[in-house]
Amino acid sequence: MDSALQENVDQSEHNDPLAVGNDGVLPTDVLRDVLLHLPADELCRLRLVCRSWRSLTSDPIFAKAHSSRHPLIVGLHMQPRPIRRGSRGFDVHFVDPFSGDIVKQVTTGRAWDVHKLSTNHGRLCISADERYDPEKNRVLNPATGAITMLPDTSKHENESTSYGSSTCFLGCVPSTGEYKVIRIRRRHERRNLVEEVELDYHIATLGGDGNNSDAGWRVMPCPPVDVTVGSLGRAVVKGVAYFLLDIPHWPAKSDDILEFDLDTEEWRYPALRGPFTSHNISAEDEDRVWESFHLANLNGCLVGIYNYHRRCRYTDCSMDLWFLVDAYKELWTKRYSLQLASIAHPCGVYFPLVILDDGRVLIWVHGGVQKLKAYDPRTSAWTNIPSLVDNLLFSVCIYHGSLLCSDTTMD
Amino acid sequence: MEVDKGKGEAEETRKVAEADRDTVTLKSSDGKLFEVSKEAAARLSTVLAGMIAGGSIDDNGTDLKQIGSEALENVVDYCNKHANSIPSAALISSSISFNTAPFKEPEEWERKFVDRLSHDALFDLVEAANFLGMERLLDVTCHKISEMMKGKSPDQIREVFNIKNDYTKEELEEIRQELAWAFYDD
Repeated sequence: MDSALQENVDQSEHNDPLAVGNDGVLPTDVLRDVLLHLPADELCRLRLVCRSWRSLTSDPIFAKAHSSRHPLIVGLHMQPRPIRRGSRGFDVHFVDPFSGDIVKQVTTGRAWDVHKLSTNHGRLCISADERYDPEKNRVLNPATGAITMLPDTSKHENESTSYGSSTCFLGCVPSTGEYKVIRIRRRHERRNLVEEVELDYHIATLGGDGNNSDAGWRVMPCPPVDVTVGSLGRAVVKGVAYFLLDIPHWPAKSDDILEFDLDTEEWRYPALRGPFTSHNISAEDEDRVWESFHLANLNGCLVGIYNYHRRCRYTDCSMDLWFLVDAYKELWTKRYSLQLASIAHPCGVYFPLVILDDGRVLIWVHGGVQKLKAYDPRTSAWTNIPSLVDNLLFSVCIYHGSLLCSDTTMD
Repeated sequence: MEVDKGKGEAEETRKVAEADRDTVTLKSSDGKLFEVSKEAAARLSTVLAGMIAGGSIDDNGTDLKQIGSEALENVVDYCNKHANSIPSAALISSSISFNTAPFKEPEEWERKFVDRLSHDALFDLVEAANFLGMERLLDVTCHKISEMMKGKSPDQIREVFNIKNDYTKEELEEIRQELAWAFYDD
């Protein structure tokens, strides 16, 4: 035993950067495993230790493995004191949902609770409704902290035009790495005392690295049917923006989805049929009434979220998650069916954020209360994740990227 | 019942082992022999599972030249403890726990198991776990080492992990500025 120890001591004599204690060298793959346990901010501090630790923690493959083990919730956090009367500052918080630790916070300047976050391919778009703050829309690269202001909105063309609700969101074109922002506004036009409301669609391209917006807003082709403006009715997955139609789904009973290709900037025809129309099954049954339909990007997959309540029992809610398996064959599969009855809140909205490595689904509950919950499909059990209780966040989403390396995405 | 059984237990275990061979004998780099349940070894170590399946287990002690006797003793100890704690493990995973990150936090006994180890013993064990493909033990030991890194300054880390600073002052300042957000607390 002594001789074995002696051998190890001898081995550590040369000044290998990974030499450990008196018992030899910690192999790089073990060191990697150790570092994967630490949060992103700690890893960034550890880059000061030596060159090899820095290159290991900056590696895109390491960053990807890290972000799948440490999913981050991102949301807007109201600063405790108003910057000036009636206007509070907001920070962007990146929170580890399990420890509750704020891993990173970025001050974005003035923002209100009308601001919305959208995230795609490692970038964040912070935008406000056109009516309130049209010139402060920006895209953040969380790994570097670089902020790109979106092009200015042209002032109202004439007095008869005004804008209602609007939305901005971000998508990445996988083939070129370009980031594009789509803006949809509700335009009110007064003509001969009659007010007409139309949606107008614009698109802007950020630079190849997503760090400078070189061009202004361009007019985007109009879709055949107007799409929903709300953030729950769209998702961007692998360079395609998917939209629900702006028609009442009840009683239309259509779950058609429009696709906009961010690369070619064209709408795809015909519309992608949702799971019910494409599989020719009925959305409802004797027991369940279809309540609402949302879209989400869950772990890089387009997911249709169907909310139901039991007939005549409005608090007995359930949710089905349909994953798009093959867009060309319009093939969907129902991977999760969640019973919300035990956690239901009368005016709550339940939004799945991410599927964890162990199969559980993280669900953000907002409206009335704000809660983060985990659902385990094997046991149908709900777990409260209490970490966000003291950290009131708005416009919460999962961060599709890594704070360690700006080239990493979870899509 | 335990009292009655106690005396003959060792003898009985050996007999059963010889007959059904439900244990395997492992030999450390310094020639010490350790016996471990075949079932636990196969379940917890991908390398031992492969050796058992491939028939490359030596009844007189399978040579593990890369692992010292102290580390191997800890490996065997871990396997035995793990085998005994299965019911509680199942209980814990199904109960409601707030602290359940995507990779499972160490359980109480696992935490105690690694906490009692000296610095050197811990690093020997993590390498042994890595060598034997023991995913769970590797996770638990890596977690322990990561805890040792938390909140330490670069100088402290270099001291504990015996690492040479290969940066220039200017480079360190550059990294500090680039990652200013991570150094808020300093």
